[in-house]
Amino acid sequence: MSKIKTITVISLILLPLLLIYYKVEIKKLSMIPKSSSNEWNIELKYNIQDMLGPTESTKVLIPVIESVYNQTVKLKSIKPKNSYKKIELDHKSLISVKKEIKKLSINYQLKLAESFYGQVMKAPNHSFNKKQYLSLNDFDEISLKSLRLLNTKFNFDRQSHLERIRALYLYLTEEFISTDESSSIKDALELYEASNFLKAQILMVLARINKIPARTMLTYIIEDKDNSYHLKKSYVPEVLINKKWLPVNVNASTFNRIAEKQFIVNRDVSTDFENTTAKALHTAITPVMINQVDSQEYQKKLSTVSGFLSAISLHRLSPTLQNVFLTILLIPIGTLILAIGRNIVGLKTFGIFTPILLSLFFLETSLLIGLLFFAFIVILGFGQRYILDKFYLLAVPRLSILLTLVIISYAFVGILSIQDNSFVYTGALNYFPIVIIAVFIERFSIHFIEEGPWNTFKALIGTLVIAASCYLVFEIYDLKVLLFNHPELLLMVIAFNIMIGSYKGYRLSELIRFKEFRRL
Amino acid sequence: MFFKALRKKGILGMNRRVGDYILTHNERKKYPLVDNKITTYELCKKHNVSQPDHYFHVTNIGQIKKIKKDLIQLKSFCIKPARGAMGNGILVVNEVLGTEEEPEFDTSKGLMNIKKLSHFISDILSGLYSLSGHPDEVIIQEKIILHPVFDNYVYKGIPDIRFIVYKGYPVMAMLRCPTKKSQGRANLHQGAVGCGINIATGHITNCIYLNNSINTHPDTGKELKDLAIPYWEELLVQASKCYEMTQMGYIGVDMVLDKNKGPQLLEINARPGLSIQLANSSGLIPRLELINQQEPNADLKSIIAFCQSHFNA
Repeated sequence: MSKIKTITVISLILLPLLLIYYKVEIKKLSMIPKSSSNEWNIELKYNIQDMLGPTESTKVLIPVIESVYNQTVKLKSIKPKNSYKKIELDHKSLISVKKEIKKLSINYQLKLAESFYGQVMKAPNHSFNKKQYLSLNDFDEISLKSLRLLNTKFNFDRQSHLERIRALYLYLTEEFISTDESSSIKDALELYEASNFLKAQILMVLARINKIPARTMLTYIIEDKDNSYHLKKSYVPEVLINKKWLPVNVNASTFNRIAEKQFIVNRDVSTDFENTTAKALHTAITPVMINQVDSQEYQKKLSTVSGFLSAISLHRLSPTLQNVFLTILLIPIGTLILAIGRNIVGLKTFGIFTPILLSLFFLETSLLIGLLFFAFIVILGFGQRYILDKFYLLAVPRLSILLTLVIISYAFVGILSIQDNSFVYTGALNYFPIVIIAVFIERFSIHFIEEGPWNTFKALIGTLVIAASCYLVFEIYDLKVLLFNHPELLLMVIAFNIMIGSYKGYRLSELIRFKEFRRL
Repeated sequence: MFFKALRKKGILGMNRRVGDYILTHNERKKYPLVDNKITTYELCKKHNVSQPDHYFHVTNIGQIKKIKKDLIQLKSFCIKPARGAMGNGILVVNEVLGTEEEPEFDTSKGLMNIKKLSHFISDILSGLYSLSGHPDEVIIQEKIILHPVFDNYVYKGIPDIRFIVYKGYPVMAMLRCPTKKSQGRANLHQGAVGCGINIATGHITNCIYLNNSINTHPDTGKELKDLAIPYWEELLVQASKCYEMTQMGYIGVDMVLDKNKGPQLLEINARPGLSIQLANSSGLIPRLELINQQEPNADLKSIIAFCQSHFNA
C-alpha cells in the first residue's frame, strides 16, 4: 500500500478509537448504554478516619455489597489500588483497609430486578450464631424496659412469630411519624415519632424480646430529584422466621420486600454504625442506561459532560427517526460484509447493493416471511420467462407486469396478516419492502436473460448468503446501540474497505476455479 | 497457505487483474471505445484493422418497420447489440427465405418470421442485452463464413481467437470453439472448448472443456492438437494494433478467421476474463511481468518477434 493510503487507513482506524476512549474512559460515558432502566453505577466513598470509632484498631472492615434479594451486584473497582485486602468469609466478603489510608472508593454495578410481594426469600446457607441476633446487651436498660412494657400490651402469648412480626410492623408503620432527628427509644415511644434508624431498631429489639432472631440492614433508596439521582439512606430490619430471613421494611412500608429502587449495602449494622460508618460514607450514583425511551435522559447527561458531544449526538432526534437511524447506521457494516463476500470469498451477487437491500427486507418482514416471499418472487421470476416469452413483449412492459404480479401477491400477504393468529407481522407491511423487491426483480430478470439459469442460480445463492449474513449481523442489538452512540465507528468501515479494496490476492472461489493448477 | 500453488504458477486472480492491470492501464474514459461496437468499428476503419462490414445500424424502435425491405435484400447477415457482452443477443441469419411479403429467416435460433425478428431487434434496442441495461443500438453486420481449417472443430457457429494484449504485446492466446452445449457461442463458461495456443507457431497446445482437460472436440471427436491456425502472424499483428488504436494497456482482443477475408476483429474487451490461463495451462503473471521490463514504444515487428521467441510453449 502506498504511504498516503496507509496513513489514511491508520488515522481512520485510530480516530474513532481515540474518540471512544475519550468518551468512555475520560468522560465516563458508557460504551454500549443498556436498555435496562434499573441498572446503576454506584460509587461508595468511605472516609476511613471517621470509621475508626472509639476502639483504637489499626484497620477498618468494610462489607462488600452482596447479590441478595432483587439485587445483582458486580464489584467493578476499588481505588486507590493496593491499599486494601479482600477477606472472603464463608458468608460474606469484607474489605480490610489500614487506618493510614484516608479515603477508599468502591465502584459497583448494580442491577435491580422488580421485586414483588410474597417473593420467596432464600435462607442464608451458612451457619451463624443465632444468639448474636437475640442479644439485647447493646441496649440500655431504660430503652429495654419501655420496649418490654410495650410488648406486653400486644398479648402475643398465643400468636406465631410471623403474626407477631406483622403486628409489630403495622404498629410501627401506622402509629409512628418519621423524623430526621434521632432521639432515645423512650422518647420515641412517648412521642410516637422516630428516625428512620430508630424505627428499625425498635422493631429489631421487639423481635429479639419475642425470641425472634433479628438484625438491621443498611439500604439505600434511589431517588430522582432535580434531574439527577440521589441516594437516601434507609434501614430495614430483617427477622429470621422458619429458617428464612424476612425483610420488614418499616420505613418504606412494604412488609415482605425491598422496594423497587432500593438496594442493600450491609445486612447487619451494629448499633454504633449510625454514628461512624454511615457518617463516613459518601455515595454517588449514575444510571447505566439509555434506550430509545431513555434517550432524553442520556442527552441530558451528555450535555453536562460535553456541549459538543451533545450537539452532535443522534439522541437529539425524535424517537421515530432514532429508530430509522438505528438500522441505517448498520448499512455500512453490510457493505463491509458484501465487500468481503465478493472480493475475498468471491461470491457472485445480483447487482452490487441488492444483497444489502434484501437483508433490510428480511429485517422489515422477519426472516421466515422474508424468505418465503423471496422464494415466491424467485419462482415468479423464473416462471415469467417461460410464459411471457410467448407474448413477444418489450422489456419494460414485461418487467412492469412482473412488478404488478409482485404487488398482487404482496396484497395477499396483507390479507394473510389480518387473519387471527396470523404468522405475518402487520407492522412489516409498508412501502419499503416493495421498493427492495422491485429493485431485486429487475436485477434478477436482467441477470437471467444475460447469463442463463445456472449463473443466475449461483448469483442467487451468493446474494442469499450475503443477505443472510448481513441479517444475522444486523440482528445484534448491541451493535446497533454501539453504532448509534458512536457513529464515528463508521470511519473504521471506510478504513476496512480501503484495505479490502487494496487486496490483490486470490479469492477463495479461485481455489475452485483454478483447481487444475493446484493438482499439477 | 491455500494459495501457494496458484502463486507459484503465476496465476492472475480477479483482484489483481483489476487492481494491477485494468485500473492502472485502462483509462475509464476510453471504455466506450470498446464497449460500443459501432465506435470500435469506426476506430478500426481509421487504423486499418479489418472488421466484418456493418450493413446498417438500427437506432430506434420506429426504424424497425422500415428495415424489412433492406433485410430481404441481404443474403445472410448477423444481428448484434452494439453494447452486448459475452455473445448475448447475437442472432445469425444464414438465409432469407419466403416471399417478399412474408419473408422467413433461417437463423441460429431456428426459423423466424419478420414479427419474431422485429421483436428480437426491439429487445436489443430496449437494452435487454446491453452491459448495463441501458437502451442500445443494433448492428446489422456481414456474416462471417467459417474458414475451412476449422471444419469439424465446431458444432455450429464460428470459433474465435482471444488474445490478451498487454501494452501492445500479445502475451497469451486461445481458440474458442463453439459446441452443442454452448449453442454456437464461443464462451467458455457457456460450454465452448478453450484451446491454448503457442504464440510462436499458432499450434494448439492444451484444451479444456467445462473446466476439464480434453484432447478431442466433444461433438465431432476431432483431435484438437492437430490444428494449426493459419494467418498466425497477421493475427498477432492485428491484435497488437488494437493497443495503438485504443490506448488501453490491458485488453482482450477477439479475432475470427473469415474464409474469404482472413483475420477480422470481432470485438475488444476492456475486462478480459481469466480462463485463458486454464486453456493454456499456464499463468499470466510471469508473462506480464516480463513485458513490464521491456522498453515502451517498441515497433510492431520487434514486439511480435519478442512474443514469438518468449512465449513459445
